[in-house]
Amino acid sequence: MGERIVEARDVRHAYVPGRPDLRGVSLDVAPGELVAIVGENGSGKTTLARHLNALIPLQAGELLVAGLDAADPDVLWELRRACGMVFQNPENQFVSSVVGEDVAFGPLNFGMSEKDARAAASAALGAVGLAGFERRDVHALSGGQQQRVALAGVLASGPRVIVLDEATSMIDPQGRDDLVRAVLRARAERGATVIWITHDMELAARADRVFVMRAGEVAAAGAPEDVLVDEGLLASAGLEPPMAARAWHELVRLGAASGPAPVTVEGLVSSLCA
Amino acid sequence: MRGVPGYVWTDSPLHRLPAAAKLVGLVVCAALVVLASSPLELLAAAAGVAALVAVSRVGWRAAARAAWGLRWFLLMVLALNALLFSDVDPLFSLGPAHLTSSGLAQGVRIVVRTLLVVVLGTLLTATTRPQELVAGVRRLLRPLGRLGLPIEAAALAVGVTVQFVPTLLRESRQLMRAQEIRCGNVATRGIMRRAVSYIRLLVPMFVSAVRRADELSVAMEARGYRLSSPRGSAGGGERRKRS
Ligand SMILES: Nc1ncnc2c1ncn2[C@@H]1O[C@H](COP(=O)(O)OP(=O)(O)OP(=O)(O)O)[C@@H](O)[C@H]1O
Ligand SMILES: [Mg+2]
Repeated sequence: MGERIVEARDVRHAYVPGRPDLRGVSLDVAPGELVAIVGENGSGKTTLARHLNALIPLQAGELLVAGLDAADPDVLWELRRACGMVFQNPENQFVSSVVGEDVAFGPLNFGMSEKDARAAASAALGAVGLAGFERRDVHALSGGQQQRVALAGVLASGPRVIVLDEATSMIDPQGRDDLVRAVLRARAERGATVIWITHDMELAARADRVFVMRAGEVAAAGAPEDVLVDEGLLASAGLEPPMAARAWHELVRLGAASGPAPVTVEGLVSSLCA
Repeated sequence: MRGVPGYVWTDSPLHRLPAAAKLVGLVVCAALVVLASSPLELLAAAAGVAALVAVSRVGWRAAARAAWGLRWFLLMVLALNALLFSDVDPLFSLGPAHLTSSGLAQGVRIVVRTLLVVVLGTLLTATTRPQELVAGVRRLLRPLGRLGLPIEAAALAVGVTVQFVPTLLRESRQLMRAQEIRCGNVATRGIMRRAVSYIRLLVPMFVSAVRRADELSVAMEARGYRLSSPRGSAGGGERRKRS
């Protein structure tokens, strides 16, 4: 692998001394990559994500994000600007009930003028498909729209890495699809790197690479076609393969199919028609 | 999202007034309202508030929305005052409760004052965007900052509170509904039972508010908010530099 935008070496963390929650996590992410992090509740996904923009100070190990050292307090704000986060509950991340004001919050904190921040906010709203929503009340939006406002709030600061921590778990399928589309668009247009933490294996199946977290460690990493078809591995991490892979395994058991399992519905269809 | 005061996008003298001035105005007007006690004074206060509503151009419905949401609470306050304020010269007695005209008058006074203060508060949020409000609080408290008081934290507290009002209101309605499912309809029960069930809502509401505030503070930090050296108004971040 060439250039890396996220580089973690043996990151360890314990909220309570003697009870580690991250037991030496190492991972590399290339610029522009879309990676998914999966793992059962309590496996340390959120703890890892919060290290990425220095919401949790590094206790042990090394972590570089966009070339910035997460252990260096002097680059803290640069780091937070370079790495934006979208959280699980849309309602608990708004600072203003007025959409445009909320989206401009990050840019203002990072030192933009009022005028530039407003322009950045409008552009970011356009990028997530909410052009003209500046004056709306966030509480009057659907959960999916709220998450896109949150995404716009991150995009407005021009991050190089976007971390989404279970950002789709509280919204409906339609809202989820809209958010996914907006994220993919931001990635395509801005070359942003996306780190998607999710319990949704169908979503993980669409990533370039998947990291499986288990009890504070990376239990496996690789392409979805390699990682998400391993029933034993996933079961040990409290997960199941995506629907397409499960169906394929069933077909293999019945002797109706053979070969590597697909992980997406499209993959399943083309494997069956091949 | 009925019953929630929000910013009303229109232009009026009240919208243009700086947030800090409106905050001071709110405190002064609220004090006047609370001091009003004779019917004539209360009437004058009501007329003053009505004039402000008219000037603000937010519309009567928007101005009254929050007050309407409090109707049951206010009714309860009225009843409790009317029945328990005094036992002199009762119009009607039942056990420890005595309906008196002085109690009734006291109840009306309190209800009218509360209504007017709520409408004034609604006017503030209807004519001031949340971040303007935070900036206003910050500006008003600035002199205190020189004494070493954490003004940014105070401004933040105001912002968080304003931001969470709609969410918490909705949540309280949900909790109330959950309680109705378990214990029968609250509205059909006596006023005391009703009061008790309101109080029982407070604990889960408080727990949830703390959790939400915690999550919000993390989200704000992630977006570059710094409590220690706030941005303030343009260039205001530098004001704390000494020497
Ligand atoms: N603020 C905290 N204080 C103490 N322990 C914590 C704190 N936050 C998380 N933990 C613990 O750290 C471990 C990892 O939690 P983390 O939230 O990172 O898991 P997660 O993979 O994000 O889980 P979930 O899928 O539920 O979001 C858990 O055992 C959890 O109980
Ligand atoms: Mg988590």
